[in-house]
Amino acid sequence: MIDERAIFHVEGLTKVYGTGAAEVRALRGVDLDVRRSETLVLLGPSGSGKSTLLNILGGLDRPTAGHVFFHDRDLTDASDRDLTRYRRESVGFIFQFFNLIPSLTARENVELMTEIAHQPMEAAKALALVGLADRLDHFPAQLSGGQQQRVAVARAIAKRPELLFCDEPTGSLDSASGVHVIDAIVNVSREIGATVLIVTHNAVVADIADRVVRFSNGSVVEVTENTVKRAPRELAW
Amino acid sequence: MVTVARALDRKLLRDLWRLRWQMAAIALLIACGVSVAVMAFSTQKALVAAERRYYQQTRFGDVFATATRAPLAVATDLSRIEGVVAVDARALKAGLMDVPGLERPATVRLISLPDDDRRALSRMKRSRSKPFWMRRT
Repeated sequence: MIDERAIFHVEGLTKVYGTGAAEVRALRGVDLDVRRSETLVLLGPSGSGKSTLLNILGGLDRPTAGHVFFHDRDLTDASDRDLTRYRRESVGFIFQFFNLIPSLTARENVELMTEIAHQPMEAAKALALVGLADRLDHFPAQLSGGQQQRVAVARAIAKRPELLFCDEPTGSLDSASGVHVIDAIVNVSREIGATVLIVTHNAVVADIADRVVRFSNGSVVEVTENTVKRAPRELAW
Repeated sequence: MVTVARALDRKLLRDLWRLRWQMAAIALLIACGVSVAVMAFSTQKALVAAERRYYQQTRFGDVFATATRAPLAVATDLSRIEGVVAVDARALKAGLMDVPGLERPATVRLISLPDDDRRALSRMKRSRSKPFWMRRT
């Protein structure tokens, strides 16, 4: 039964890498609904399939079997051109290792995205939303890890995406910087009304989610609703 | 799409500026390679031109043939063949000759000279160098 609030409906999603003895089943028939404007944390140990699911939902990878419906449109049938348009118009990505261009300033890194988006916000505004209004003309090498990740957050949200996918956004940061980044993600997603999916193996991060999906060995083992959410500033690990 | 190029252009320019010394070194290397190539081609061209000029000056023959006891009139017959510009007949003889300064007789190849060297083929090119047997003494 499809949740009426669902922006994503995932059915029997399976992903197999390799063949024969080298075969790895990253996803084993995952069923999941993602609700509009919710913050969903995908929690699980390394290799449990959560990043694979995120990549398929983000149009970066294709499943071996199963279906992913986004607004009733099956992404598994989409052409490469359609997936490119989907990623470009609807999805903002934040990765563990920032992926900023070293020879461009913070503002220019964000502008790289806003220049190809339809109705983006100004790069300076996006950076102000993540608390970097005074770092517009700094190059990545002049910023701390947490600040670089916040530039990546600004770059992801500047095009006002409907979906914000974060793959281990605090994975390479210390606790204080990680809290800043989570705070920025929560605040800006609220500002633009985006649906947020955060992949992490850090159980503390799950406290900021509306719902938590626990993964193990390629399957969803538990989906729980957080009755009491914690503010990002209250987190520590 | 035009605006996309702005940020990417800035990236390109900054990357090029950062790599300016590597680019200068590569440009220098390419310039050296091109210079060597130009020099080699020029030398080869000059050698080919010199060879052609030398053959023209000495009226070097294109075809050589030997015959034993052939009458001189054969040369006249050969000159009538279509495409033949000039025919030059010489008498050849190989033999031994005593040479001052050499203990043993030298092997020589005697070639007759034409009456009018200007009309002859394979004209003699006289140089100032001494014969080898004089250089040894």
